[in-house]
Amino acid sequence: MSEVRRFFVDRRKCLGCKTCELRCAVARGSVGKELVAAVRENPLPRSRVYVQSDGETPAVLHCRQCEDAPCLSACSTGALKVDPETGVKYIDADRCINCWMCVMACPYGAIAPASERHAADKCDRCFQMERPHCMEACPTGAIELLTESEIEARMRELRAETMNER
Amino acid sequence: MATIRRKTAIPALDDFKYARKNGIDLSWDNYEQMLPQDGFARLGLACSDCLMGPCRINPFDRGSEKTVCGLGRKELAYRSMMRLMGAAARETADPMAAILETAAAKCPETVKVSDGCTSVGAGVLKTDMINVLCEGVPFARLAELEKAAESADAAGAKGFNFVLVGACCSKRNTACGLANVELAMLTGLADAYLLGAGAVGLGRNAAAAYHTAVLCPGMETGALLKKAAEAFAKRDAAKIRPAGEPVQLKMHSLESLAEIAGSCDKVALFAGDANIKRTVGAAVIDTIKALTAKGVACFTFGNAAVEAAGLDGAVYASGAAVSDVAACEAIMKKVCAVCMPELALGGTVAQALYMGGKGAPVLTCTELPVEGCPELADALHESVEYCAPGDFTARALECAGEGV
Repeated sequence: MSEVRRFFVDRRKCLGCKTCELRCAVARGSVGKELVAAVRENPLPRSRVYVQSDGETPAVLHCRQCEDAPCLSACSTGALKVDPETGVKYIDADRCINCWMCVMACPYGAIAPASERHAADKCDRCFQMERPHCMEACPTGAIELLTESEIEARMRELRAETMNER
Repeated sequence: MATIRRKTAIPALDDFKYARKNGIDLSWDNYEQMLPQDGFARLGLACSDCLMGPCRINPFDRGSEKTVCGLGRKELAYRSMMRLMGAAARETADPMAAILETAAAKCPETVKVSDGCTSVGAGVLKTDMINVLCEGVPFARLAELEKAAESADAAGAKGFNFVLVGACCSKRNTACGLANVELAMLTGLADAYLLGAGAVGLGRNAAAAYHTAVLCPGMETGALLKKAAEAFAKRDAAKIRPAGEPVQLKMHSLESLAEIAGSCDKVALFAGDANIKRTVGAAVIDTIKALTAKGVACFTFGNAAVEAAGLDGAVYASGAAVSDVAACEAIMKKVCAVCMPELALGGTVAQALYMGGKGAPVLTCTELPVEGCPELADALHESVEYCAPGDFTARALECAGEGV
């Protein structure tokens, strides 16, 4: 298995514009794959990335691809699977029985009970693509996909910047 | 430019290569840098009319159906259209009727145009004159400037040469269409770029890399002419590039067009702006070629007349506004399609809606900011029909009762 890459969101760059949400819904959730057409689809496309705000700072939330994933343990039908190549946890909609155990188990609220599609729905990091759609769409480059060592390097940079500011 | 696509219908490869080599960013570069553009605004679901916003309604989120002040999708899309047309939104139970009324109010009868001849192309810029590119400048103001220029100090030049951008008339020459103004500027001969309220202003990009003074027609006349003359004195001879010979274009009054319409079965009208999201000019040129081949007479107005200059066949240019045709019954009864593929400005959108409101089949391949409310979008498409760019010509042929 290759080194697991996770989303890393630079909150200093995130404007809360929700462009990632729109792109995710259209590119991964719609049939037509085009914004204007997607608005008319029934059921409406659903985004798997969420932009929320605490009133001050926006935050982008994807499935965190936890190593010891609670959703995986909670799933009784084997609908939640792990891609052996990338380590990404994803949902096999054909196996999902809509019990929403994974929805309850997720500590981040990153799994949606998509009853209109008769399956739970969550971000699979667009693992079959080199660059996920949300990352491609982000106008400020706030969303990145990094390995653990890259995240550590990024945090070192962040600490250094913070110290310089002081 | 990062993407490979045809930017404009005119042969401009050398211009693009020249701009890239000299580090001149064109509007196409800026557009690609801008991507992705705001999806909420594109759908008409964003509002920044007050400082309690900006608000937006997520088209896919069932929880966000209203703005802070309680506007729903329909009201928001309606306001987006009104904002685009430069009108204030009012409370109404029938947004579509209000949009059509506003469009009609934005299309007053314009000045009478005459028959004549004009030249079109960057070749109208003169090496020994102060070239002033005029975009969206009212003709009355232009006439004032031309009169004052006759006695103004020309800083060693032979005089002032006022040329139009994105419009044509029998009294003045035209340098280029709205989107190709940057390419005209790459000649290095544009001394001043006069931007009126009805301008798109894409030439700002290239102007920044040249001596070109970007001016507002509201300036005091003497000061404006002085600025243009000062810019001429700064012209860099090393940056001057040859421009091709201009095309001669016969201009028609509405009376002449009515006469032509009387002698043919069907007429298609072509108008609109330029929009760099599409291959600029391609839909106009391809559709005119297809329609004239089937015997349909094509009347061209404004920027479309500039784009179609030089096309053979039954193509007739006019300096009138396309909305002026609505009052001319002899033409209207022969109109099978009003082709306005590229829209950019609210005034032109108003013209399209006005013509649609008069019962003419209006086609465009520019999305209007109402798609976030399918109900309003459907009502609007009854006046202005949206076609995908690849289907535009075929749809125009269908409207003319001709197969592809």
